[in-house]
Amino acid sequence: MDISQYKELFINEAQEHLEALNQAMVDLERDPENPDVLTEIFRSAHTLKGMSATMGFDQLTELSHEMENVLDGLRSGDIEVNTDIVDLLFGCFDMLASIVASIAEESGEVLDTGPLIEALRGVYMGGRGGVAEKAGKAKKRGAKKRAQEKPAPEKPSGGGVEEEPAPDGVAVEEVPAEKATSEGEGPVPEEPPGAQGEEEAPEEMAPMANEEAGELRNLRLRVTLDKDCVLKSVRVFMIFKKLSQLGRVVDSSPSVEDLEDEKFDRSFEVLLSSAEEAGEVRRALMTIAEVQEVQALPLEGGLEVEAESMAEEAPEEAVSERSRPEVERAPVAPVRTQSVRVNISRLDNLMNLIGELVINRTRLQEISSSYNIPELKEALAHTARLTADLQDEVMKTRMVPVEHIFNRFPRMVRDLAKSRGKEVDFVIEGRDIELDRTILDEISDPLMHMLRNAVDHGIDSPEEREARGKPRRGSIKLAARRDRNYVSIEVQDDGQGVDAEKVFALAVERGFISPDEARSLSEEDALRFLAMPGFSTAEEVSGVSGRGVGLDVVKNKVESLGGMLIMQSVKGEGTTFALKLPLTLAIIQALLVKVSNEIYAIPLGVVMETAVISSYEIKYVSGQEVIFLRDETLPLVRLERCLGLGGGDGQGTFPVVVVETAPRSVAIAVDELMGQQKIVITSLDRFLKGIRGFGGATILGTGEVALILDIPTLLS
Amino acid sequence: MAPTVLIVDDALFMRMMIRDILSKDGFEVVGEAENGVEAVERFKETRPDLVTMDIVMPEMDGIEAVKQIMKIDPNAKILMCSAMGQQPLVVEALEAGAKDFIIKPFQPSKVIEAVEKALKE
Repeated sequence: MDISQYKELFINEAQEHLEALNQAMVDLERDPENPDVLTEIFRSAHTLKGMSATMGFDQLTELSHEMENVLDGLRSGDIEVNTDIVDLLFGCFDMLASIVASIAEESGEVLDTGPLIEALRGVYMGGRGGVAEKAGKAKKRGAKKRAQEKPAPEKPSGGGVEEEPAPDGVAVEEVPAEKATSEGEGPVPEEPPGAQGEEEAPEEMAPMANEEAGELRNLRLRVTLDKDCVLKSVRVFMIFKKLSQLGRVVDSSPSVEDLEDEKFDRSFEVLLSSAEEAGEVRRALMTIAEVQEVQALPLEGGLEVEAESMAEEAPEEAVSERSRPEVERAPVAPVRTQSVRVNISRLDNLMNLIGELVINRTRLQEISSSYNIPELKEALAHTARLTADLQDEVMKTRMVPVEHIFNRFPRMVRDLAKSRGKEVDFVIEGRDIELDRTILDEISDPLMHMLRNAVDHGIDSPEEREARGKPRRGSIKLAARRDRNYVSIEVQDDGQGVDAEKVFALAVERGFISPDEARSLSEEDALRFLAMPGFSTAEEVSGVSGRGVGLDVVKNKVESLGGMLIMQSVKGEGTTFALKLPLTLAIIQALLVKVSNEIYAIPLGVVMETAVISSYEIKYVSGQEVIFLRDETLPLVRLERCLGLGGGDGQGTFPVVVVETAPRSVAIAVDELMGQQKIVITSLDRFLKGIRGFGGATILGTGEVALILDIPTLLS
Repeated sequence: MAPTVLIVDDALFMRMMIRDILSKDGFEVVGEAENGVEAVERFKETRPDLVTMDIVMPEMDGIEAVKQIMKIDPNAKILMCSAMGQQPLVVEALEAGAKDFIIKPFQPSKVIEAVEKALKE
């Protein structure tokens, strides 16, 4: 079978399991007593093993298998959860992830899992050994399991040691050396029913069968299993169970115990006392998978007839049985819908097409009103509703819960806190809040950066915290919240907060401001410095954060997505960074404005408010036009000039749009406010992409094209 | 009418695989479930000729699901899907009424064999 077609699916799902493992392991460390978490970890590891084995990725199979052993020990209580084991398992998860990645990239890179496997075995054996006195059995079971569970590829193929069936009578099977180690309790906990207490000699049984119940007869059967049969003991169990329904198992060779311990190669014999025809028994046993053949052997003292007749019946039956199930089928209920994985670019295309559809609809509406056809109007009103619904549905299909990326963070925060000697409780809220897949992917790195900052610079050391009368353990909260057309994601810590004085001192030192300016700045201004390129307050570069790639990158990324970064900090109490993000990139709410008879769209995300001002309200501060709005001084930017359209010295009264941008809010003067509207964003092609100040274009209902302003780059 | 099958496994990947193996051989997959609770629900709805049942699953494991399905229909034909190293669980499932089992990694021929044998019974 060609399994390459499953590769992508395998990789996706394997990665999901690894994420779940990392997440659960962090939970486990916090709450080692919780059996549910362990069960979940075990389950994920187990599923991963099964999947890997199916794909034939032996390294993955082996490592996850060894992990499973340790997890099993944790679950049974033979091994205790401690930091070393948690670290080791995290190490394994990383290795598994690397292997999955190398499979995904087809890099052919060979990773060495040896040390991890050794370590796992050490833990596993150590754990078992530690409780050896009181649970010697457990250890034996463990050792046995190991022998049996070896991944299939390692197992010597059974075909090579295939034996000729013994001529007749009781065959003595050789015990393969590998199996000899697996003495002790059988893998089948109970004796197969029907075999219990039925160890009487066949001699005793035979007369009874012939004399007492005329119907009963003894059958000697040789059962042969497939040569690559796994879990032979369970097959034996099934066969004995089936036999016990048909009659009584009088004897077997090898003995039942040996069969349960898999001390046989492929075939064994049973003596059955049954009222059934041999053909019937054979047919019943053949319904068990991996039973290759059931032969009736001559029984000393007669009944050869049975054997002969069976030989005739068998082939015929095999044919008729096969065709039967196909004939008698009841009608079935329809299939339930399942989920489908779709490439995101398809959804992009779909969204663009819907955008075009909306534009066309508007054109039709205009035509219908100019010709005044009521029926057409009615039909178009209906079309309008449908297209709106369609738009919503496509938007929804692009939405993914934030947990998709949130799940990676607990592990990262834990590792980082540990390496920094800090104690941190990491809390996630609002995992199920949904966001456009594209946006989610884009903010993963910024979020990671903010969390690193929180651990590195935000949270103070346990000693400092105690000195300040705070609990030793700091807390970092990552919370997603839906806020009308926006999603806000907050990273909140209860650490030391931003020291405004220190920021100002640094700002002066780096030449951003003069000492005089510094004195007139507020705490809020201090935060804005943090988001300026090349500004970092970390006194020492910690190797993780504070290496120049800082908040400014986060801020730019968020703004390029049409969102914004909001910062709050109280010295000594903590810092909160909030990302305010649009739900989707494809459609945004925008404020349409007009200057020089052209329409521009300003993403509503950056708009704080609009106002109408008169030219006499304009003041000048060092040559720059400013206005006062509720005690705040806002620089006034004339959009026409900004876009190089000329003019723009509008007199009288005119509207302004107050936008939030770094380092402070700005009032943008326009000719006219056209209103708020949902627009479908069309990105600019590569020839136009380099032009600063525009985030894309949109086609309005009238068919006109409006450019979407990218406020941060426009003003910088 | 082709025999109908309900596939139960918590891994989408595994479900796809079994679905492909079975549909290639002319079986009709009438439903999928990713945990025991869903399995029981789907079983009630679709009444398949055969169920392939994973053992280790969230919500409700395969063994409990077998027990519940057997209560609904004592003639239900359930095939356990197990990874290696789960003998006791496989036995438990068989005692609960499962007809047979297949071992991961799956070989298509073995899956088909087990399915056909279980249906024949």
